[in-house]
Amino acid sequence: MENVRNDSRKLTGFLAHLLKMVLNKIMSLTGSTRLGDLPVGSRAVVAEVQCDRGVRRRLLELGVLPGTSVEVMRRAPLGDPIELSLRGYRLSIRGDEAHGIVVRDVVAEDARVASPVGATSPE
Amino acid sequence: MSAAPALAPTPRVHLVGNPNAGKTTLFNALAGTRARTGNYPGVTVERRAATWRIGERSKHSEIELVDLPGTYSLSARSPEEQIAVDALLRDRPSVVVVVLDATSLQRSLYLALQVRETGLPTVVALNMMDEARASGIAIDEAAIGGALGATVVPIVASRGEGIDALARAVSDAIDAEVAPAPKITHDAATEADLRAVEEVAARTLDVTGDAARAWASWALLSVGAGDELRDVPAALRAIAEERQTKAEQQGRDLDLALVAARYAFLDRLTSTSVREARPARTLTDRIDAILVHPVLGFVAFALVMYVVFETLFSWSDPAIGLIEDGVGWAQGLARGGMSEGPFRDLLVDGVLAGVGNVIVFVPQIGLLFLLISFLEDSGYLARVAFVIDRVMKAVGLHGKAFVPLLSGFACAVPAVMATRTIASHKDRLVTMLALPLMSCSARLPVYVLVTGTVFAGESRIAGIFSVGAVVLLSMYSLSVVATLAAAAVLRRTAVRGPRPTLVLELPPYRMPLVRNLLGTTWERVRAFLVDAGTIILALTIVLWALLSFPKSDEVAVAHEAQRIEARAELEGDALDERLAVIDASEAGQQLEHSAAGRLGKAIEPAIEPLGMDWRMGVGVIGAFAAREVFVSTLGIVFGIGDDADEESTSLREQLRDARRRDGSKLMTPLSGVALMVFFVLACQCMSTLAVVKRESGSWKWPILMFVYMTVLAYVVTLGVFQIGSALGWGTG
Ligand SMILES: Nc1nc2c(ncn2[C@@H]2O[C@H](COP(=O)(O)OP(=O)(O)OP(=O)(O)O)[C@@H](O)[C@H]2O)c(=O)[nH]1
Repeated sequence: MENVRNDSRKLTGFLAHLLKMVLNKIMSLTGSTRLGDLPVGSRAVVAEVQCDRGVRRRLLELGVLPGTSVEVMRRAPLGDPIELSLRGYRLSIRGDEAHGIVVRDVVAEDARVASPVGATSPE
Repeated sequence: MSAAPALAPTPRVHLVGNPNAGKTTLFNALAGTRARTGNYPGVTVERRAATWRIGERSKHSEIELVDLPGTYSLSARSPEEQIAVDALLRDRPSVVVVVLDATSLQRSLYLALQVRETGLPTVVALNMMDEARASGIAIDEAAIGGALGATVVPIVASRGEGIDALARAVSDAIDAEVAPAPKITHDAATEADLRAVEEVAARTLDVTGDAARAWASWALLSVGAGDELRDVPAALRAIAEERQTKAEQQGRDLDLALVAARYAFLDRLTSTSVREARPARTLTDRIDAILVHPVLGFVAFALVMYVVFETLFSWSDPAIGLIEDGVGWAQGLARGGMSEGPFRDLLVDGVLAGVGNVIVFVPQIGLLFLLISFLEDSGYLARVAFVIDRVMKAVGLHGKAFVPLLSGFACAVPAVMATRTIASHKDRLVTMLALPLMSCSARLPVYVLVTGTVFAGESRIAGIFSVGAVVLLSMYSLSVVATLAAAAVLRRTAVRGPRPTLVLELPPYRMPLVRNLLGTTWERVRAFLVDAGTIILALTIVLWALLSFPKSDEVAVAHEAQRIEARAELEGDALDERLAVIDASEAGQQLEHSAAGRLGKAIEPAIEPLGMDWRMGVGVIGAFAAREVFVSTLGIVFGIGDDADEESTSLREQLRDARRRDGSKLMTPLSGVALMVFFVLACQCMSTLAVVKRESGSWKWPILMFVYMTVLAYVVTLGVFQIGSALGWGTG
């Protein structure tokens, strides 16, 4: 009985994970911007956090939640992880997690070329 | 009814706070560095408590102060995250002191709010006020205190500022009536979920009011597939899961709703009560421009790691030498001052040697922890993880595992203790269990002896590298590969858990306090001496007994006869020389007769396929005290005396000439390589086992470690020797 419950829990967990991955793929195809895609120096507002429940809960509790503005400060020398600035402190997360965070209202570093990433600019 | 003050129970105050908020500094400022430490049962988390003599300032002259593990939140998925929750919700202390970093209130108030939700009397210690003021942050403490229902006391823990006010606030809070928990508004559906769970919590945990509500929001955020929480009443778990599932079906995001409601409350509060002036570019930014720069960052990283490595590998040598000399001196004194007999041997070769085996680690542990606490308190250790995480991630480890693994090249004992800097229990266990495979410096004498014996010639590979050097390098490579592979396998088997991630705060750079560094270092050294030291001492005595008893009268009588004969025939140097030879021969024969000698012979059939004979077996048993003891044990077995070292030519010659029972050579290049491979992989070190027991808090993990390493060593060595022999490399 316990086993069956455990197995079914594992299965639903796995299915949920799969679903999330597929959703992530679709979302990125449809053009939603991920925190992990932003160049260093950009600012954005978190729109959605889509990681596994454990990490997601930690990120939410650390204040990475919809509506919070974040800035990408730098990448580690080997490209991963990245350093974020939010709520007056610095947080470092891996690219895997950063790709699970959908952002909006992106502002590039240089104010002169400030235009939301993804918005079409005249050629 | 009024109880005399002396009879009133000692109030208990729990200290909670985010990592890096200055909790340790405050704890030390309040209670001095005389903390009592121990492990929480079953987890690798340390418990610190002390008596806070609050003195004149209050009618409570003494307070029991408990330092809870640093945390960002009270929700939990693992037993070690649950510690803080249980400490508040189950222990119900008299007062909770929440230490917050005043420079990041927008985030750190989250924990304070959660603590207040439990309904416990709370004092908020607003630490780092010096930095907050310097960067122009203005905080309305009264407004925050009012909203939370707690007294807010601004402090600078590092300078002792505000400590008196904090003591007064705590003392007042013990006697005052507790303010109700802040009211957080939820949407109707979430509120209904909370109500439903609250009711079950109240019934199953026998709590009411705010505590029941706190349990409810805890359960909804914590319980779930894959959690490893303990002692959650079945009914509470069931209702929480039921509500979570229902919310999911309705397309509601319950986790987000619960967290966002708190942050909404806090954002409203901070928008009016915290005013931040954006500093142009902080000192930390300027330092990081160098320390995590794509190129310079690696240079800095390499330099710091070099210092860590050298500290362990060579800078602690003089102190180790002093200790060894001191122990030798004490042994000599005892040997000279006592009459011959088993009791003298027990004292000299058992107890004193055991004490030596323990304190010989103190220089390395002490220096390593001075260094690690400096790196941690200054903020650089987080950058070490940041810089190297990409590499560690590839093998399923955390960036913070790097320093312990590197330390493993010098010695597993301090390295295992260094895993304490890794926050997650599982990441810590994996690192701890894998790193003894790193080729530590105690293996080097074994490699040197073996290569010196079987690869002594001048033959070179490609005309440049001596065969010995290539073999040595291969052993080090093997150890690294084995460590990383073991970590990856352990992650998927014995220490399975959620996918390891890195969610790491990069705190501002700060000047560490010498008092904290010394305090932490002393705590680690003491923990080692008391907990691991006693095990090491006991094992040393057991090993000594195995290697010494039973004694053969026959051997003793025969050698005594030789001595009498020698004394009659020789004198002067010639006599001394002859007597030394007789002593060595007697020691060798007695060892053969001892329990260890018999054990060596008993396991011979098992180790023969590895290219070893019983003499190697005895060496391996003796090496359990420390790997380098293999060399001196072989010295005794081969009758050259116990002072043979790895450079000893007579030992090398003896080994080269040694024959197996069937007349073939014992040491060939193949059996030499097999022996070294065995030493790379085998768990030949009682001190490592003792320290893993100390740090993991249970015998389960050192036993698992011993079994997996021994099996691995046996199988791989068997493969090397058998395949090698089949290919005809065995005859050398
Ligand atoms: N400027 C300043 N620095 C402080 C203050 N309090 C502590 N520090 C420094 O901040 C750093 C972190 O302090 P700790 O006491 O180790 O922090 P902690 O909360 O115990 O952190 P963990 O040990 O990671 O849990 C140390 O270098 C302290 O010297 C303060 O009030 N002002």
